[in-house]
Amino acid sequence: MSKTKDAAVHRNPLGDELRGGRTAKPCALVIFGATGDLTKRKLVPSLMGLAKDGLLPSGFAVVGFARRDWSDQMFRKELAEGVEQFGRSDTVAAFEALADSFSFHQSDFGDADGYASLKQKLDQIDRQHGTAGNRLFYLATPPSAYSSILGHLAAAGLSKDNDGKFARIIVEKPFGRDLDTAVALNEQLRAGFHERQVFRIDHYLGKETVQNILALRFANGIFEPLWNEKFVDHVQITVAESIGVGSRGGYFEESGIIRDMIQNHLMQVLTLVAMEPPATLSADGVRDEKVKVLKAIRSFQPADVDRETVRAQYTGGSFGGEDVKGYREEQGVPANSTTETYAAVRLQVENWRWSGTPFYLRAGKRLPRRVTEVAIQFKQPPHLLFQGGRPLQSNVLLLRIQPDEGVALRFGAKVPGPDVRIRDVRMDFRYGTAFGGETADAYERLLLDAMLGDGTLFARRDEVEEAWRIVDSIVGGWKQSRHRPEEYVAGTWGPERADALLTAGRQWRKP
Amino acid sequence: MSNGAPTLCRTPPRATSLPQIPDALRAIWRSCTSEIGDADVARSLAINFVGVASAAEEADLRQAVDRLQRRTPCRAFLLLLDDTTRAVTAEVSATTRLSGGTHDIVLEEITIRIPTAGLERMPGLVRPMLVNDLPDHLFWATGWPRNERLFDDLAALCEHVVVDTRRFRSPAVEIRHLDARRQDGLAITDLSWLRLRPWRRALAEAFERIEFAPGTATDVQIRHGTGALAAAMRLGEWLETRLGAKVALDGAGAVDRACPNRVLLRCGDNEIDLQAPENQIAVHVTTAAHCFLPFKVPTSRGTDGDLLAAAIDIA
Repeated sequence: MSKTKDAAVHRNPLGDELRGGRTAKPCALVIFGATGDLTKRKLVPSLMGLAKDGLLPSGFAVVGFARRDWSDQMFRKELAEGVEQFGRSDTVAAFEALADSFSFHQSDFGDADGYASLKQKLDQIDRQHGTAGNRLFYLATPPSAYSSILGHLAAAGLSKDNDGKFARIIVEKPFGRDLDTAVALNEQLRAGFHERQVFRIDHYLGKETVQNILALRFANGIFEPLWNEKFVDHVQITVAESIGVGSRGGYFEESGIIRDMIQNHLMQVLTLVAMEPPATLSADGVRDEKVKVLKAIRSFQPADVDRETVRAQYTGGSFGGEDVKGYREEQGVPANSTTETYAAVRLQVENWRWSGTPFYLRAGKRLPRRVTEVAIQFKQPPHLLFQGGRPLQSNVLLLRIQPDEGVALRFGAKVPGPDVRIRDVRMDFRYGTAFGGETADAYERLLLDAMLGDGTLFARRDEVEEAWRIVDSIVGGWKQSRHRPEEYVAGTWGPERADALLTAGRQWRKP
Repeated sequence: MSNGAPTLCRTPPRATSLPQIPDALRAIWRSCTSEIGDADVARSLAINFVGVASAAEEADLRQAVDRLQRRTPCRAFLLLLDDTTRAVTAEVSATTRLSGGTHDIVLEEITIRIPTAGLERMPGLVRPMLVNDLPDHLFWATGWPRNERLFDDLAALCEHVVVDTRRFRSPAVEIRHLDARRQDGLAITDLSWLRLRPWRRALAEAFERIEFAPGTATDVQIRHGTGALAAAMRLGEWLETRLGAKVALDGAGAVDRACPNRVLLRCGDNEIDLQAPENQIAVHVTTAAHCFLPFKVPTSRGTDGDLLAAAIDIA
């Protein structure tokens, strides 16, 4: 058969039904660490959300790979509970219909035989479930297991794309704990997988409201002309949590808020806010522009870190009507800990668009509210015509990422009456109202994208490493600093010294 | 985004005369603000919606609008055709959703009951009350009218028309009338076609497993019940166009289904058999060399309201 004729024979005459929607090719998903919380709470409920919406491929199966001695039945029972508890409405029926597609593979992550038998199992699943030899591996394990799993996948020949069949790997954060370890992890990944096969998941990027940053900027004519240093005074990006570290004290002590939040979530949001319009919405088109933003942020000199950043720990206080512990009294936290639970950073994106416009990033635990938002604070008009020349509040475009997802614009309006008095008013768009209450979990979107091979919403190697370069320079400065972290009372918006970061009359928002 | 069910409040319907509808709408706004007290009230409408149904289909139309507003807040005109009376009545109500301490008006509903002949007055009544700068959608949720001008005049108000050919009395004839309008440039979405999405996808998935050469003789049998004739016709037309298939419809299937019961397709040595006994389509694919394990595709679990919302989303 000639090549041309081959192509004609194999063309699916109804294939646009699969391409029209976002329908992935058949595949088997192997979850390493499948007995953990992530699988039960997020991954499988999200898969069932996709099934409910008809977005899972017809040939689909899940293999849970973990050390525990579970049977297929136990695995399915555990997952069924997870779907019932954490899934969207009507996903239980989807799980019941697909339960046969879930199986468990018991093995130690370091046992080569476990991977040989996994390979056999996957071949069998291809025949039984029509998964067509496509594999998606999900590392839902502690990072300490990554190296072993990656090495064994490569040695077992499971990491290569072959004959049009794909092998992809999804890696959960943290992607290292500093630049060196991130580079080492990336090298391990590269030993078995090409970068196009690697999907580093940061669930923030799967949130509709984060994706909406690009839509807001590039699908509307009114914002982009103002989106630069000429009109924007500064940008505040806030990720506030009301909870403390709770039982995660041991883990948190190793990371701190800067590694846990700023290096990944906040940097990702920052790049979407600050990037140039990409030439295309392809994965690399978008990520190329995001990387340019990070490259335009200079590393801090140690001597500058105390001036450009603030770190702090929460102390005990009254929160929500209850007394709460301070960070250093939490379980697993040493009494002399210097790990920060709050960090604020002033970043300068040194390019034509943003020169001189500071980006303030802050993240903290035990702050008054759980809220994630981006506030674009515009400059005052050049001439103050009203209120006797006294400055009014500047206009703010607020992108609320969670909760109450939406966009709001603050502007001045005349108070009705004979006097000319201006008061701030707010124009508000709420996602929940405009598009309904139930929206897919971020993991749904990200799992589907990984199945489709679309890396747009995943962090690329160079993004991760650039973000670590910046964060390492801050952490390095803190290590050399003579100052201990500041303190703030639980339930307040952070330490007083954070106010000093904002110069020229600027103030932190209290979202 | 919140996954919890939103808190919705509906004001009691308020009877009004046709000329007083705009005032009644303003009064609703005021009553929302007074009932809610100090909380903020905002109106958040995304479309104008005109729904037409017979009085007997009122519950279905209301249910569809209720689903629609959850995703697409709207000002909705429900035109209910009732030939048992010559009286024309109107009532208005509003639905608000509590969201983060704010009440959003997500549905302004104007219900007008009229004899079928009175429908010709409706474009003139509705047009001035459409909210500016919003897309306008017509949902013709009833049978094809004997007087087609009634449909055409309302369709002319809107950028997009949704129909449900399942409700047509003689789909074989009436679908042609509808398609003629589509060819003339009217944007039409047929819910029967959207209901077939799982079937189309299942067929497409099945074709991933076989080798198909263009020109291969292909025979298709579609078994359907009375309620699925329109869907069977739509599916048949699609397969005729795409595969050059000869399609035979067999009306001996279960009556209460909105979609076919079975599709049996033979092309060359390949056989694709789709059967939907319950909420799934089981797909059996057999080729000369392989007999694949059957795979299953869930049938749509959405209501007609979900389909309507989807139709408006993709318009």
